[in-house]
Amino acid sequence: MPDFKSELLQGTLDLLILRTLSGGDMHGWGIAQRIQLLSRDAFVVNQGSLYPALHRLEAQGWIEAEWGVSENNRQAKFYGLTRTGKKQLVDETEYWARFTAAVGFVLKPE
Amino acid sequence: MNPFRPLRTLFRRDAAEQELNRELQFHLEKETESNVRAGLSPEEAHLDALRSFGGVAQVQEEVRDAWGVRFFDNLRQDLGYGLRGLRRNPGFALIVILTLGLGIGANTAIFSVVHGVLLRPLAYSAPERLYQVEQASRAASMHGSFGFSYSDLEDYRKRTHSFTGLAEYHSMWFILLGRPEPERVQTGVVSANFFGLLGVKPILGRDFSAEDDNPGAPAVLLLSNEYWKRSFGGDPGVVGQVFQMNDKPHTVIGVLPPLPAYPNSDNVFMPTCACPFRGSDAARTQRPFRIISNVIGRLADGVSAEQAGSDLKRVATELCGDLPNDYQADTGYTAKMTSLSEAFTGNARTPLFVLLATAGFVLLIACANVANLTLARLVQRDRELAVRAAMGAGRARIFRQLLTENLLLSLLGGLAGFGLAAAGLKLLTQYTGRFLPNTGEITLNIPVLLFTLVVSVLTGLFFGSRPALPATEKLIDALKEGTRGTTGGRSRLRALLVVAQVAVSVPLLVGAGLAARSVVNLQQADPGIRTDKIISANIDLNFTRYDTAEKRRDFWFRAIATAEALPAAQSVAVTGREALSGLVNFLAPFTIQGRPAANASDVTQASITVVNESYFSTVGQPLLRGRIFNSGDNAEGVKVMIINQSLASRYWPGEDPVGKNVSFDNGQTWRPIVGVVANVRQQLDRDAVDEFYAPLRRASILSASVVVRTAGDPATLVRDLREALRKTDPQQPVTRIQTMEQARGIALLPYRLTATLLGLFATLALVITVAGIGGVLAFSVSQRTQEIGIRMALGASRTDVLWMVLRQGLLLVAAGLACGTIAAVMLSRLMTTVLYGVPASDPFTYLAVVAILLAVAVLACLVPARRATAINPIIALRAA
Repeated sequence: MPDFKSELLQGTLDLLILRTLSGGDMHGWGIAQRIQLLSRDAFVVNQGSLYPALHRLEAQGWIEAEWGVSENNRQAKFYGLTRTGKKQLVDETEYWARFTAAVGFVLKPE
Repeated sequence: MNPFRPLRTLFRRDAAEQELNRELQFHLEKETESNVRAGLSPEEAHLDALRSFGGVAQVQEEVRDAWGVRFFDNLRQDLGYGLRGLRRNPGFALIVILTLGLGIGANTAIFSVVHGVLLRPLAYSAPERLYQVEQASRAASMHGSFGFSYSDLEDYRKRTHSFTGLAEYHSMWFILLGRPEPERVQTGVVSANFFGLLGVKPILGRDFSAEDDNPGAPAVLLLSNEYWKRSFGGDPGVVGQVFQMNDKPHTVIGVLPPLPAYPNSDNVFMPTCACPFRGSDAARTQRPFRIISNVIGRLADGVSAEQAGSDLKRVATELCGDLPNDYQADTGYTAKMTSLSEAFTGNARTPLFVLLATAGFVLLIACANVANLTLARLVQRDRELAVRAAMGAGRARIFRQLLTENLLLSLLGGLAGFGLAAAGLKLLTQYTGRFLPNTGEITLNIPVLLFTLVVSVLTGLFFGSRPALPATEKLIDALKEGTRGTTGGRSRLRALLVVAQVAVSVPLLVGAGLAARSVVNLQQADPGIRTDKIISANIDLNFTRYDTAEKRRDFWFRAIATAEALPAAQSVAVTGREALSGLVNFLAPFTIQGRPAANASDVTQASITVVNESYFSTVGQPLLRGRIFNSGDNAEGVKVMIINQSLASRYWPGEDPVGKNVSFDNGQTWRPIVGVVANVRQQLDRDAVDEFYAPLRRASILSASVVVRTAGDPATLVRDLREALRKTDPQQPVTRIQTMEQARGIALLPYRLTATLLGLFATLALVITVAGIGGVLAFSVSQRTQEIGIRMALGASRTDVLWMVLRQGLLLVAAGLACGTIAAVMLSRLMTTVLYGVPASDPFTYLAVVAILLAVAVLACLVPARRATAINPIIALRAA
């Protein structure tokens, strides 16, 4: 299986973060683990792009952060989807589906 | 994205940074924990976590980018850096801020006037559709255009199709009774549609209605806002009150909103039928009764100004054809119109734009100087900039930092300028009040503030972009010892800036010089009378007490007698209008016996001034022909007239007018001309107009001046004269008392102020330019120390070195003078209308300006040139 690590496009990471958070609030480390798990280790999220992405999404108002207590009883910053974030997730998922379908049509052998 | 989020982050910046640290710290801990669970030793687990995370500082930077605060970070850094730099170099900062402050302040002040007066829309509805309609003919003695009679106006009302209506106006002084003191009020006499046409609604009460303007209707008044506030304390109860004016009760029906003083600054307004002159049968029926001074029209919907203009021309031509006795084509009779905004500011437009352009030039020169200073400073800062470049600052980043510094300086300069403008505004408002109706609107308001801000920023960008930044490689070169690689291009730029400064200074100095010559010319202008040692007191008689011609005459002659009793009085006279007062009399139409009756296109009209027999000798107005009035020219005698030279040569060229008869009532009575006197100017800067003089002994005037020629200084007579007049009638106040020289000074004031302002600006420009020349040369000398040292070591004498430096400076000045003179020749033509008695191309002024600039330039060059000769070759060479 090819390693996508270096090829994760910015928009893709945003979509993955939004999708991951649709299951419930999570802290940054948890999001990275979850993406890695769900992608069956295909995506190893680079922290160097994860945190800027989280802060960017927050600045755009799609996710919001709150300090809470983690599973190991420590202060952690939990991210959750906002209402516009949920709408954005729907839009982006739809867009992604159309995009991959279109790429699929092009690549499908005649 | 919420645009305010970056700002919010900015304000809780420390908290945000701490939170980010804690967040990343938490991540690392979780990662370490997970590594330990995978079987690594705690130490290894921590290291591996750090490794997999990558550069923490980089992540932090990128997150900050995501916050959108990078821009503010840099700005804060640049500002802090710039402020530190300025504090290290306070002399530089002070000079730059002052120079820019003067430039920006001058512009702000002038702009506030231009904005308040020329740019702001008039307080009427759709003012751009309002036009002033005028009749003009070559025969008219006043400026080519003349007033309307009611018959003229009716012709135009019936025949034009381009206007929703034509409104009429003229202004007179009446006395209003019913207040504690009789008040003399300036009264606008208008047709009932006047305010409706302008789109002005009374703030209290009602507007005039058509019924108010029917002959015999009860007289009504509208009060101007200013008069209502001043005399009635803004009391709304004034509506409905009744006052006596012209022996008739007048009811106040309303109060107007604040309006520009156009066409005059009237206290009250009345409909035409209430005016004893305009309401008379003569005014309604006689065509030469041209009492209406202003006719205003509003363009009908869908009619363009061009269409209306040609409509007026068509009507004028038509009238000449249909009523050839009233309108004569061969005199070039026509009708034209001027937009109200132009009619408003006609006199002020040129001086204001000249001043605005001048202020703009001063700012340009100031900018050039600051650019020069910045360039010089940049050379000294090469090393510093190179270090910054070597440490990784990009070219753009360095440029941005320099720009921030410049903007900081220009904004500080703008602040200083705004302060200067605020300080000078009162003076300017008084100045423009001399020729403008709406100076009340001049304030430092938001648009003016914005203007200052924009000018400041543009200034910063202008002188900030000039100091061309050297390429980064060259910057790094500067780090190498003893290199001066980057200065060549900049010296050329600096030299060019000096040429530009000199070039811009020339038109400024020429403008100031021309204005100053105008003032001198006006001061020397001969008004036609001897203005020294004359004092005059103006009195408006209360006409309820002085209700007959006998009583009035009696007062004036008693006043003459009491004033003559004053020891200092040499000669005393009475005149209905003072010379040099600037007031233009009502123009009376007249007919000449034996000539065809006057008609519309051949307007025979002239002003009439009532004087007593001693007037001409008192003021020193020479008699040219015939005789002066004498005591026989009284109520029982023949009505005789004296005319001035201007009237004589216009109507009796090559003939003796003495003995000819004129009539002011269409030939019912004839008055012989008994004498011709020399011309006297009523306005110092205008030629004399046609004038009649009538004898006081058979006139009946309410307002006149007692004129006294004194042996000594007339100013010392103020109290005595006032006292003498009080003795004549203790209840009769003196309106105004002044010496003729004071009157002359007032007439000169607009010219003097223009000259003063231009002179101030030009001096400012000269000082800045000279500082610029001196600065450039001094810098060049300091850069060339070694070269000069070598030249001297090789045998160059001190004189050679002196000349070398001088030549360098004077070449720049000469180039600037050449360009500047060409610019001045083109620009000064625009000043023609604000000049008096001096052509815009006056060679004397140009020569003087060139000489002055050359002289101060030589002085400015001598200082650095002498420093160059003082260079000790041995020390200079050793330093290399």
